[in-house]
Amino acid sequence: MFFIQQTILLGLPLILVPIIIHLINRQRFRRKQWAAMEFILRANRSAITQAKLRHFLILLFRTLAVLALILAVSRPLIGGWLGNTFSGAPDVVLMLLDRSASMETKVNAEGQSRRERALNLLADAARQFENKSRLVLIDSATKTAIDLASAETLAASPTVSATSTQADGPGLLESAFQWIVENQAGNTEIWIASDFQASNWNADDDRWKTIGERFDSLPQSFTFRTLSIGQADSPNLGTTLKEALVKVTGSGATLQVTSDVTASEFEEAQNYPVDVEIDESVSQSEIQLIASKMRWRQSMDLANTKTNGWGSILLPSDSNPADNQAFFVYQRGLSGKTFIVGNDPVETQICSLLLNAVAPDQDHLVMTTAGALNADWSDCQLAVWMGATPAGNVATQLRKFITEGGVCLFFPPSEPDNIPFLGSTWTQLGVMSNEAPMKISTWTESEGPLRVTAEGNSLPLGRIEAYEWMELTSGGETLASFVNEIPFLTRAIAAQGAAYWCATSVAPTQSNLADGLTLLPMMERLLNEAVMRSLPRSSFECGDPFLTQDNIEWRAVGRSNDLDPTLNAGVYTSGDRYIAVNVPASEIDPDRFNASLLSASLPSLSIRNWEDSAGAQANPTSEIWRFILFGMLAFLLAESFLILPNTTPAAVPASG
Amino acid sequence: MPNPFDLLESDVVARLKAIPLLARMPMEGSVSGHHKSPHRGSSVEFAEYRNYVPGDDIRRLDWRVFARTDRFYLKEFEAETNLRCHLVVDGSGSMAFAGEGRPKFEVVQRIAACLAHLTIQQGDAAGLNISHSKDAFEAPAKRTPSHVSLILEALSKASPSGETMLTETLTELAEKIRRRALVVIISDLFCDTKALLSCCQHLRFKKHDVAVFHVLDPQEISFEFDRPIRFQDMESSFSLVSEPAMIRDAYLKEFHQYLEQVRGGCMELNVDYRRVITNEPYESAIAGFLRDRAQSMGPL
Repeated sequence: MFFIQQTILLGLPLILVPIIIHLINRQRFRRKQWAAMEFILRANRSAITQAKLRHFLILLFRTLAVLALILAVSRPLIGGWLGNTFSGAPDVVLMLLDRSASMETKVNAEGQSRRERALNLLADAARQFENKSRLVLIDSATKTAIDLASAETLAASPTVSATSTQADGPGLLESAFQWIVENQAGNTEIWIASDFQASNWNADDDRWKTIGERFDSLPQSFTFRTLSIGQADSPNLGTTLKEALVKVTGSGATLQVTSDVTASEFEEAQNYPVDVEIDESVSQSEIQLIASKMRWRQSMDLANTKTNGWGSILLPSDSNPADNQAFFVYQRGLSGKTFIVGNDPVETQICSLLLNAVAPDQDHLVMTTAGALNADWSDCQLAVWMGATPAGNVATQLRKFITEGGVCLFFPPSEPDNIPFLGSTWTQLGVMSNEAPMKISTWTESEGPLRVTAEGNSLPLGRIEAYEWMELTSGGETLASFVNEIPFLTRAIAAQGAAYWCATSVAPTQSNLADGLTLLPMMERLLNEAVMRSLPRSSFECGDPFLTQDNIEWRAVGRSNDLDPTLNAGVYTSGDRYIAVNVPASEIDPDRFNASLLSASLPSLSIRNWEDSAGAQANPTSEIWRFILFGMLAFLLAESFLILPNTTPAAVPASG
Repeated sequence: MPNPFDLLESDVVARLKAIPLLARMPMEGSVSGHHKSPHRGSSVEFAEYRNYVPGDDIRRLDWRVFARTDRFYLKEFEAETNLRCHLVVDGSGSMAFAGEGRPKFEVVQRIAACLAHLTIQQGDAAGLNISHSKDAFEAPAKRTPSHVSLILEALSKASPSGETMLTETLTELAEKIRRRALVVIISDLFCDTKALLSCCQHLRFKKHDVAVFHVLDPQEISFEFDRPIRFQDMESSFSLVSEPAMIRDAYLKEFHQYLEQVRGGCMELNVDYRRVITNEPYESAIAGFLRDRAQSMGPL
């Protein structure tokens, strides 16, 4: 037997109260002169056994009544055969509904979505418990628990509508656990209605173990039932925005929108029509899908007067309308300066040449480390620092530049100086011969300055040869590493800006970076990043913490005003600022998490598929406080029966 | 010291004096009175004829019967004598009990005083025996008016205490009084019932008319208490802590059994049994006692 309210059991000594009161009462007798003593003696002799038994029973019933009250309040749970005897409907049916964008996939010819299908099934199943159990709904988008008056009200609940969010499966179970603890729920059935998308129900998530342990620690019994909707996928095409970049040219500006298009099923190359909307003007385009996942880039000329705007890319209608549209917001960035800071003229010249090749219209100023102190950093966007780690006032100025949105690329000094800057320190010099230079073995291609090109080609980092390099103790993220696992390029994000450390110099004596094969695109991307970072962030995924800030009131642009950026994709505005909110890229991932794997993730919990719902629980536990309360009433009735005065009036003999 | 005559309530006496105190059976008095005598006498009331035996007074021969039958018969008449009433009052400690009604001994005093007064007032003799373990009192039956004062004084002086000596007093009394008399026992009868009935039987055997006033307090009958009580015996130092609610049923059973035993025993022995509850007027008990006797002797 377990108790939900275990602290109430501290009141168990209260069962002694009736006994103590009885003993005190016995000490509080009064004296009485009595004539008919003989009859009291006789009555005592004849009634002593019966009276003692009656006394004992009264005390026993009073004690048991107090005990039953304490036990009932502490809400015991029993299992085993007793649990079977008392088990009926669960005390609580907790419905966990996946409201992610992937749940909008159509599952039948009537156009019913997975979410709508799940709601119907949940309502049907809950109908048999609506008068016996407490029905509670927690959705994946808000993780808010809502009590349902009946199964019929499920569909009308405010937290069951479609969203563009991503579901967090472990987080949803954590919310369920939290609700159970806070509401001290008894025997609970947890129904999980989801499409079990792999990205939402990550089997490798570290939280599974904790969740299993937490549920195990509770005395209640839990039965998990998984309602897996739409495991058989119909063909779907989804798109996610990568970036919307405005490139200023001599004659005007060009908007370059890059998005990823993913097909759930791909057999052969096929063309799809695409509606591209810019500032409420729609144009037709076409995408040729040559792989299940490909990047699609569309360039459009912008009017000279246009500094910012918004738009979308709309794929043709398919099984899931939620992931067909990618929204974007564009804004023309300010053309800033680039500072090339270094004391070696060869190195600074190489960098200057490279940057001029990438951005010939921008100013690329070369200065010494000493001259950096007096430079005007206000209109600088990218800094390339080649020399000793900045210290003193220069360091303060550089740190301010980065945190306010600047991007800085550090190349190593001639000697390790062990001066920390933004958590990174040059520590040790490494040297290899020209015949056996150090090569780069691993690098991050998904994002960052070393990412693949728009066409999907990798940068030729394998060709980089380093003859001298500087070991770096970095607190940031490693983007590329030498074969000996020493970092080649690391990155640290500092507030609005970012700092990069490259372990080898551009000097031809130290590496072949000067050939520009890698450094050129890297510089271009850093310049683009610098421009983007100089602008306020405009692209978000549904569920981004930024969107939940209370101090900004977002209004949907070109769509219904009651849309919420935390739940629905679209373009939103607040004042002069526009933001694009899109379906998380992971929602387009067609991989499914086999619901049976949930049993593997939570091995100690009883998890059943929906089809098993007719089966009985293996070892149910039931709350029995109602029965104990009845027991208490029975004890009190028995006690009151025993203490009732004899209703037969004493036959008072008449005088005379 | 209180005035002994306070025991007599004038209004009660005034109401009761209209009903004579009569014996239910022949009495043997010293003077003529209103009560039947076991002997033949010279009253006007014919009793019987009987054959003449030598030695009889020939003046009592009924010559008319002789003329008719040629046989000698004597005509006999009833004799009437006075009544000797012995009041036996229980002075044991238990009589001091005062529950919901008057103290039991006060009721006993008033009943005894009233009966003594009524008896002597109607020309009969009254005596008093106070049963007490130490200060027993005995006044022979006399019919002088001053004897009432003596009895009242003795009653008012008496104080209930000690163990009951009722059966001893009755046994002694049965041996002492030679002539047929009315013996009135006024007590709570908290003594050995068998011994008590044995004493009554003894008195009845001696041809005495025996009457019992059984004085009880309502509390003794109902036994209604709510809290544990240490009961202190009034005739000894014994005490007992008990929970009345627990033993009430058994107590009532025992007590009612005792009452039935006493009443049944008295009826069997032709003892006039009267029960007096202290919260009810004792006058009713006396009036009933007097009225029943008067009715049994014929119309008043």
